[in-house]
Amino acid sequence: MKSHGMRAFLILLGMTLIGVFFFFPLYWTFITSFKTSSQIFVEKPLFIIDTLYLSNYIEIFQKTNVATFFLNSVVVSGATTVISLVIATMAGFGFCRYSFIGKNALQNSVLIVRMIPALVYTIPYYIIYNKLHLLDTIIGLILAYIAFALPLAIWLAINFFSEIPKELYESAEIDGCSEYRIYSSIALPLVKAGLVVIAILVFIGAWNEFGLALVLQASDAKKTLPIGIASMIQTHKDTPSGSLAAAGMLAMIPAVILSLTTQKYIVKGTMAGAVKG
Amino acid sequence: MKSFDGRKTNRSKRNAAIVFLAPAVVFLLLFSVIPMLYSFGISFFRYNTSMAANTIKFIGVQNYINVLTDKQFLESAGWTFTFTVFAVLLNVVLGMTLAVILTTSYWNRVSKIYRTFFTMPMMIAPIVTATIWKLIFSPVYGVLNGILYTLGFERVNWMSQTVTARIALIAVEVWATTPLCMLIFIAALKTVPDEILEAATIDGGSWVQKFRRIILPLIRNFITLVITMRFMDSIRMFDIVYNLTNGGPGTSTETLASTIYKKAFRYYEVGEGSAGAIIFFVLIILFSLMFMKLFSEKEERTNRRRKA
Repeated sequence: MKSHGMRAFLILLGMTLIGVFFFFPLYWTFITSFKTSSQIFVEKPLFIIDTLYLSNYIEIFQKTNVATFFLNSVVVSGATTVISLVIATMAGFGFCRYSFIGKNALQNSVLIVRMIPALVYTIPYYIIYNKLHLLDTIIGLILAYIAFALPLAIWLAINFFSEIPKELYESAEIDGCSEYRIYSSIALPLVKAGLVVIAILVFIGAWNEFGLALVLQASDAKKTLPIGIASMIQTHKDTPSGSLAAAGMLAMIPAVILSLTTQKYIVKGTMAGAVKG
Repeated sequence: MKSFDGRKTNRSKRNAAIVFLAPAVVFLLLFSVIPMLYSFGISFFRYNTSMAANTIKFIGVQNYINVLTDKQFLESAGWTFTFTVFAVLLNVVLGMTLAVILTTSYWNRVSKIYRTFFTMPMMIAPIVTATIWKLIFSPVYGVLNGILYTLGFERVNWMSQTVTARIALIAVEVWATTPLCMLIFIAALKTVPDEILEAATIDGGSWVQKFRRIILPLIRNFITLVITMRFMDSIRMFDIVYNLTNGGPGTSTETLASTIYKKAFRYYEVGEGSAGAIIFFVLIILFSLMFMKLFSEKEERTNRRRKA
């Protein structure tokens, strides 16, 4: 019995240490964002504060373009999600409903496209966009992000649609449903949970993307939040910790909300996307 | 009449198939396949975007030779590989430990709170992760040095020494990616039927025996999934390195991706950069083939053993 108590204690200790490792950085960012600079620049760090000062948040909204970055991120991620969802569900439905020559080859090429590292695209995008005057535009970034999102989204859509029994389509067909009605009124409602999975993964992917935006977006008016924050770190080396923490908190909002509310979907999606891929 | 109807539905079905698949196919052709071919094409040219167009010149495989004999490229390949192996190893060990503990019955009550804490880093953008850890590793007012100072130790300049910078990067990667591994392992452990474990307990099997002989073989596919997924992800490391150390000190933490990025966008050598990116792509394909072969062989071997 005694050894059991000892083991429980050791597990508790280990869990606390791991818990601190995973949770403390977030807590530290949270309180740093609400500190005044005199509370930040101290020799012995303050772990608890009694007042939440909003000065860092006010400062980043006044002195930087963080509001524009945030809005751009919302527009880019939102548009990417909606358009990818439409194209991917259409393709997923098409792959599951019809058989044609070269179907397997087409499906497999979607998989191969998924493996291509972003850098292989980044360089040609830069050159081609430069020629098409799409560099530093919101539309250009959205188009690129859709291309990034589609392989995974199509793959997931195929997975979800393939769970629908074929008989359902056939009986709808006999009832005189057009193909487009079958897609919109029968197939789509049946994979609602799957649509949520795809939407979350695509949205988070676009919201968090960094490398491509870094190359394509140049002016502050067209930057998304990740590269906005990066330029705060890189170019203004003197950006105070408080402002950085506040900007980090803003960028975290959607991620934290989504991970707290939709954890199950994310795990399901990651596994569905990877198991057969 | 009947055959006419049949042909009509066939034709309308074919049209529908085209309508449903065309957007995806056209989009991927225009925005994935063509850029990729373009990248492949310019990898055979001397092409510097900061110089006039008439300096663009076909040079065969010279770019590939340059990249493969570039000391910086080879060094960053070595470090990227080391980084990936350590990160994935820690992912599996930590993720599995957490998953096992959190699914053990007497942890059920606290498990939910823990899970919420643990999973938050998962969805956070790499750039935000880098920002968060900058606040922690910062040399003067960083909290880690603050704690060291409070305890009476010397402050450490974490990012200006190769060893500490590398350890820091691995720690940050593990912090950001272990939660998802843990969630997958929790889902895996739930697929193990309770009856089997109970039977083993009655037979007097110790916990370690149960884990090694019963649980591990049953969830092997999930472990394979996590290792493959995480390896493919870590090998592409760019965002965190770019923002936390920017490759420094010197070029000691430069990864494959950041090396190629700098070649193409800091030194404007897009031809050589493309060659590097294609080599990177080939490496990724080789690694995934290797994983597929490795894991399918293992499966065959255990299947054979089971039959014997």
